[in-house]
Amino acid sequence: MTLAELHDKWEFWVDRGGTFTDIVALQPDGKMLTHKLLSESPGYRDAAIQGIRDILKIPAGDSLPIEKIAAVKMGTTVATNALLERTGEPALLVTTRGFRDQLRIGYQTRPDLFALNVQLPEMLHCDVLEVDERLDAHGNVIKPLDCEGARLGLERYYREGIRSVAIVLMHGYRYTMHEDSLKTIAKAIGYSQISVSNRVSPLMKYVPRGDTTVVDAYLSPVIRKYVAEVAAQLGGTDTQTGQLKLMRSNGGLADARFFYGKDAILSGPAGGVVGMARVSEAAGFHEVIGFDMGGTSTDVSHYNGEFEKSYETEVAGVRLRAPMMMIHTVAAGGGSILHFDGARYRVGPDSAGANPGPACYRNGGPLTITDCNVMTGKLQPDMFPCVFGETGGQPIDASQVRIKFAELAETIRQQTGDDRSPEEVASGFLAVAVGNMSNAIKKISVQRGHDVTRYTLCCFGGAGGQHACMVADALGMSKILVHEFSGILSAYGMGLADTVVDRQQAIELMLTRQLVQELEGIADTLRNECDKLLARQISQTHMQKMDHRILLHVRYEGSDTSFPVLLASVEQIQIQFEKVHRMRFGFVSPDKNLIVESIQVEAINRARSAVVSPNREQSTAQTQTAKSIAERSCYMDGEWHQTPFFQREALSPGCRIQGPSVILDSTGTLVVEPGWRAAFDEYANLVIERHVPRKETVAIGTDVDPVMLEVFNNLFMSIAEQMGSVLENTAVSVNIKERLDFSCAIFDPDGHLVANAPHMPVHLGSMSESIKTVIRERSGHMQQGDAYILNAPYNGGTHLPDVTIIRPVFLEQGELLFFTASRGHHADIGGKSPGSAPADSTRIEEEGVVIDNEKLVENGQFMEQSIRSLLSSGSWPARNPDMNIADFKAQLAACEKGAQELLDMIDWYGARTVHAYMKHVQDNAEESVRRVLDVLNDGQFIYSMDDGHRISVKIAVDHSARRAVIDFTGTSDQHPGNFNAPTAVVRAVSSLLTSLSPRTR
Amino acid sequence: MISPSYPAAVIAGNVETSQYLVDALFGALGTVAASQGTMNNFIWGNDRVQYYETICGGTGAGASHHGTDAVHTHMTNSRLTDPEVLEWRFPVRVESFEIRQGSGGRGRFNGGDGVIRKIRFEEAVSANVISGHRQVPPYGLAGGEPAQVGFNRVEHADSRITELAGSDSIDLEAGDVFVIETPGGGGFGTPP
Repeated sequence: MTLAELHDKWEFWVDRGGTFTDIVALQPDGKMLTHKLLSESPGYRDAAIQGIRDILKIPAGDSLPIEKIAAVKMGTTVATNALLERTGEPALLVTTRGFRDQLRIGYQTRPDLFALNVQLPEMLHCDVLEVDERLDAHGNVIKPLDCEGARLGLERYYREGIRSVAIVLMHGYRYTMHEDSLKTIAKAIGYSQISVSNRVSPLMKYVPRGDTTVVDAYLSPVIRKYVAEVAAQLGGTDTQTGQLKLMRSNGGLADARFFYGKDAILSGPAGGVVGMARVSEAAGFHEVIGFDMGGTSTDVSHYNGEFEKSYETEVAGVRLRAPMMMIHTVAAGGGSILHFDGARYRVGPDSAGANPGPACYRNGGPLTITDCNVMTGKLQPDMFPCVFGETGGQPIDASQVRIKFAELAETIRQQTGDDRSPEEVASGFLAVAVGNMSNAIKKISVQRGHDVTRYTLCCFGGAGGQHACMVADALGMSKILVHEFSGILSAYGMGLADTVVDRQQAIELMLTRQLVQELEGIADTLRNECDKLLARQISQTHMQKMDHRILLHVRYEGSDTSFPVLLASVEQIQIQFEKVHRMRFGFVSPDKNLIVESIQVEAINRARSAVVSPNREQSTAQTQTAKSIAERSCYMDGEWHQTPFFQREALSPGCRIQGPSVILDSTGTLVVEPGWRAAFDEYANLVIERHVPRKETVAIGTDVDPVMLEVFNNLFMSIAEQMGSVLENTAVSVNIKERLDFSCAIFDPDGHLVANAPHMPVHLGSMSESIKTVIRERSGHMQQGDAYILNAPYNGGTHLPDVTIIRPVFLEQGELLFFTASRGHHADIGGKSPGSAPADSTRIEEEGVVIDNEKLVENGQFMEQSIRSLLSSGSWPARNPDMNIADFKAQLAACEKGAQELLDMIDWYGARTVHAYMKHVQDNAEESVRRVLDVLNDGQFIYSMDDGHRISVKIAVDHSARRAVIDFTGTSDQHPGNFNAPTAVVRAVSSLLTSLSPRTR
Repeated sequence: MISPSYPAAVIAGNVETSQYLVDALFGALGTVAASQGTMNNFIWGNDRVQYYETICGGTGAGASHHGTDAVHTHMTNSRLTDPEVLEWRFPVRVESFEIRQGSGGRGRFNGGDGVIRKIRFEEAVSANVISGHRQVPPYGLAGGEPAQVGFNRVEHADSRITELAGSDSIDLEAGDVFVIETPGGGGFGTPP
């Protein structure tokens, strides 16, 4: 932007969301205005254009003064909605013969482990055309393309009205000739949208590249239609380079003519991350967690100097392979519905949405998180927009909320005897929601090696401010940043984003000096392509501010996990790669070759910096006492407080506000909880800090409490999941690291399950037997610093490749409190055939090395010698003991992580409480199994196997005692081959019965 | 068979008998028809390369839902390697991987279909398959029909065909195609 342009032109930064469209307008004089309107309304066709009209005060019917508009930068959910609602353009998938179902089958997994009615996402393509052609993995033509057959097929679909095609051929990412020929044929026929996999996502892996190409074919026409509508109102895009820009999922803007379906999915949220990062940097915070809580969900993100991208993401059941901002979403928002299931408080994942909305919206809606904030007085009817009721002019209905909470409190009292008051019930639900959100933040920070307590929580979105202090407390964070535009930060981010063009090319070669030279040549070519593309998107005056970034996506040979590093010398590439690998996974493997998977070039036209924001006059920066506009009773931290309410616009820099208090602005409500203090900095940011240290421990007693039951349930589960992510990250074998053939769980001192993450079903129910073996054989001799290992099928194991590592967790005083355990499927553990799964084995030794409750760690020492000699023993020793040992260490790291988290939990809640809740969580799980039994009936079944062996089962349910007996009498005797299922497997199967329960965990 | 003692072999107990056990329990309860009831373990290799995969099939129909085609059921949910990665790393070509139409049992609600997977080898390997429901079909419930059984066979480079048993092993030559057709799931209720 040159100064001359600034003087007479406006810029509009727009976030067109699902419910609201937010606009930041940059006036010719450099000042800013903000505006918010409904995204859909009978009164106008497009909210963005209407908003611009409102701001410029252009009456309906008059055309926009295009000459006064320098740029419109916009994020939009148009594509996301079309994807979620499956309302994109019908698209034909054209693929190699034999692969018509490959995208449908994908990687053959089911999303919900415990669903009997398996629901898979609906396919986006409307039909498949298989063509005769085949290339091998190195580009050799196995079968030439049957152009004539393809043309006839494409013509037939065209006649049927299809206008959009996705062309995805095996190995087409690099060997492009067949795809390109098909493109030429489709073009000649007249298809208006042709997405070709080697252009859309030029990377190896048929499934994600195929999905991405189909998404592009499905959504690009929808986007083009929308862009054309907006552009028409702005006088057309063909003449005005760079006037209309759209936000891509990767956080870069693109000229509207270069905005495609595959890049559009996170258009809005990406603007939020850019805004969050830029305003935080400007305010002097360099390590930030973005916390964007809206009506139906919360988006969390992590920033410490670089935007973090994910390169393969699953959205709405579609595997997208395109660079996207790394954003983790949980179904917890202001509209999340409250449930009481008879024992526990549950929040969401369903939402009241905009219609009927929360109970307080006067529309017959259910109780939601927003209603909790009404109940506790944090949202006040006379200080909330009056847009409700039949006339659309009434305030929120607090009395209805109080009635409903009173009813709910009474229901809970009748069912559990817990006599919480209505406000206590509301704050109980808030505590559960806060737990869900803080567990989500742990996923993107703590689980990836970042110490979140040093970070600042950057809070934005409509509902964020009501919960920020509580979320920060749950994570041990002590600083919160709330920007002046926090309610519309995504829109603001659109204006602060760079214009970015990128090009990617698959490489798949070993890193060598010679390769680096070749890569430099490829980078030059890609850079030229990018520059040309960028030149068509921005005006000449801006071209000087252009930067380039050349990234290589590098991985270890034999691994599937790549990391981006900058193109440099071989040594520099190795150093960069090892640094990030060590941070994510905790180890490096210097002996392994590095593979350059692909090269990516970005051309970046830098945007303005964020420090343009403050509108207000710089005031005398002395400390001022703020004046409240009202005092109300608010329930915070377990009691009612007389709480002052402030208007943010009336506060000036330097003033401080002590919690408990509530600060209102035009876009949201900010609650300053007791122990926190808000202050204005010189940029009109509110910085909230904990000035009274967080309590070191909490006292919640040992009696079962329906709120804490849910909190502990989620905490134990979160620990098991964190163990899983440590194992996935530190494992070396493909089988564990990438096929995810492992499980992690927590057990009580008797070996009963406390919590497991939803990993492999056959592991989950059977691990307990391994723990019980250790207890039986080692009771009284277990020591702090020990860990045990076993796979013995006749002593608590299942089959030999599944190796379990078990770590006892002691209190300092020596009391045994828990076991943490991890089980991994090892690719080979010896035996007469590679892979340890001979089809014809008759003795266990033929299947590999038996490990029967050995000590793996003694007093903190890893017993490498003894385990190595065990693996090398017998007639058929393990074929790759180094790999086994590396994975044992990863399994151990997972157990260690679980132990550490459990001990932290004990520090915070106290051992007695944790132990009591461990039992409560188990009782609750048992109860949900018994509830399943309540609806089962007696039955029996005999099932023959192919070789005449049979399984006989008889189930007898005693409804009054709520017990079921499963009797396998009549089942065949020991199998002469290898179809014998040890006790642990049978227990695992029986425990799968709980999958019948509506929502067991 | 479900309380074996040393030194009985157990490898298929975990991956195959476990699937039969789940279906037997659901059969006794009458809640859902049988799934494909196997994991179709396919293990092959030579001195240079080794590989192990399990292959999906159909799920059983229930009292109010159809089964699902081509997905892992019950005791396993392990991922399959991407076909391009498989061909890049190993001397094989995926000839086809498709839904085996009509292999699910018919019923008021139909069982899910299994898959047909054809892999061509470009080098000699020895191959092992451990699979079930090659003779006894996955059952239907409440009048629903049973599903089709699965098949394992090798289509040799010289056009001979070798039919294989559920648990079998064979030495393959370059050019041979290993074909696995996985079972569907059973139907639920009398077909219309």
